[in-house]
Amino acid sequence: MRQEYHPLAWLAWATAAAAIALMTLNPLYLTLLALAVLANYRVISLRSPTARQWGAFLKAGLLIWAITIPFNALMSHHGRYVLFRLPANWPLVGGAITLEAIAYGFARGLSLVLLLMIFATFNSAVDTARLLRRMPAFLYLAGMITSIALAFVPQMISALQEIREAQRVRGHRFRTIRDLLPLIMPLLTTGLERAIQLAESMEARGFGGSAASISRSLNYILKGMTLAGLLALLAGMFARSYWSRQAWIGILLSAGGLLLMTAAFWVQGRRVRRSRYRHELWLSRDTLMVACGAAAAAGILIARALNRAALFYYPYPPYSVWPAFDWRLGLLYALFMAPAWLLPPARAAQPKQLPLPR
Amino acid sequence: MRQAGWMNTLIILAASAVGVAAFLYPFFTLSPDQQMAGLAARAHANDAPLVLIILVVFCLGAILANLGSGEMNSKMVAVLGVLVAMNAVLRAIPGPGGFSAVFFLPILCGYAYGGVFGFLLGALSLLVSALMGGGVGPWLPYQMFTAGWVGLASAWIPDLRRFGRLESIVLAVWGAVLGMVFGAIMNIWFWPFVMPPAGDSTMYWSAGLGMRETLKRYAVFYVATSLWWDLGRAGGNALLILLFGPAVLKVLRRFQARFRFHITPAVEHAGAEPD
Repeated sequence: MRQEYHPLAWLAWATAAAAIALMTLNPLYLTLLALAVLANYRVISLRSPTARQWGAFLKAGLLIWAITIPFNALMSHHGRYVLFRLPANWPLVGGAITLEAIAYGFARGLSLVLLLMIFATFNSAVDTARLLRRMPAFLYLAGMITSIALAFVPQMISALQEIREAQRVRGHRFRTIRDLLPLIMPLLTTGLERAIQLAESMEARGFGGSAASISRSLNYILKGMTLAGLLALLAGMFARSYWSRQAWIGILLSAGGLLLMTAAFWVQGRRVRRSRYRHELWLSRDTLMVACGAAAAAGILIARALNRAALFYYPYPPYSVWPAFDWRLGLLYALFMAPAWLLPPARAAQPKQLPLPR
Repeated sequence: MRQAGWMNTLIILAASAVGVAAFLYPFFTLSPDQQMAGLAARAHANDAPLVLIILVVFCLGAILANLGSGEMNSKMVAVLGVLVAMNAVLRAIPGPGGFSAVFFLPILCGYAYGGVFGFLLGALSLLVSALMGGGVGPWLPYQMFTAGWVGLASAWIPDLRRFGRLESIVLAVWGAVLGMVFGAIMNIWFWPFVMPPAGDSTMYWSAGLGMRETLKRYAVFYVATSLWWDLGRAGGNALLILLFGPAVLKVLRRFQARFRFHITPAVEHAGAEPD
């Protein structure tokens, strides 16, 4: 499948957008971001075969949103702006129905739908096999297991069908759950047999030859570093929550732990050498897209660092139900529309091109 | 080899502890002196999910990176790959309520092949099925962690093969327990964020509650929303293990003998090359 952007560019975009989406409840900013994401999703779904299944998922998200608003309005009776009152003797729902409760339900539901939309766009736009090829080097074994599994899934499904047909031919009928046993056992056995064949062919092709090249002592040092990093992280989290007045102790400990782990990952990744059969193009529009996402995220983070209340929204008193809006921040949110802007217009039904190995 | 195995176990435990802390964050984060839930505290509560997702991803990375480097050989990799594929297919089988066959293999493999294998099988199955179905999102690391724990915890059951029928009954009960625990844990990660609180609600999290009150509210929330769903999952696990457990275990053990042989080169580090 010909793809419009590099998978890593999409990953960067989705991470930035999700991080920014999780950071505010302000309905105006959320709406802006949602519109920007929606523009991308519309453009992508014209070109992606997998977008359709996400359509149903998104509809479910919208339904949840539609339920959230009245639910919150009926359950929460706080606020200054009372729209109307239900009889007080009705259980749970009785009392004032307030604008604040509706606004809160709206914002919460919107942030959930927004998150779904971001990842709907991401999943529709990115080919998983290409994403998997980008697994960081220190995780190469996990990546390898995952690719083996992804390659075996279609085989499993066809094996399942074959076994089913074979059992039917022999007169086996699948009526209750108990009748599934003659289906599961051959599947498991043939699967494990195939695994043995695969292991043999992997060894024949030299798998594991380089894994021995790490010396035993370095292995211990790396493991020890990871372990120390994890423990520092844990200690930092506890310090952060129990001595919240000296927050910096916890943050420092956690950051040190993360650094230590990153260093171990880096050394582990460095000894893995990978060759690429298919080089992927990183186009200038990939750079532009990532730059837009990064600029927007950085700008919003800086705005929040300068003024802690810039993104803050909480409709109930003592805060205001009316969201604040700064047009400069609004522009930054709109920047997430970049992928849709930068694409050339879709040509209808273009013939499939096979990517050529270079 | 022994020590490397011990260190792997320690790493998995430490990473799990961070994961548990990240999951349980809403229960202990706001200590009394933070209770004057001012602007800053609330604003902090808003970016908690983001920080926690990053931490969980790091811990998963630590586990996956280190389990690989020790005793993984081609046979382990191949068998894991195949079983993960099988499990991802099993997950797609629909069922009533929260029923899902995704835990059947991790529980049995964790029991038969050890906790590390079970952890990897559970965690990677969810990764693969998310990649297949296009379900990659911020919920994925949490799911992977929790499913990994299901496999890990199944290794805590001692080898019961002498007791015949009892083995599958014990495993079925354990599978039901794990199914419930999985649901309870998976709810926690979004519970404080989905629909927190306004004043007098008795089901939702709000900043600055005491531990006891938080637990009480969570219990109400759990019973009201996801208990029935989780009962379906737990019952499904138990039923599958009771019906198919003994036969599957037999196959797994037969293959274990075939996978166990190990070829060691005559000269240690013969292929070592300076980087």
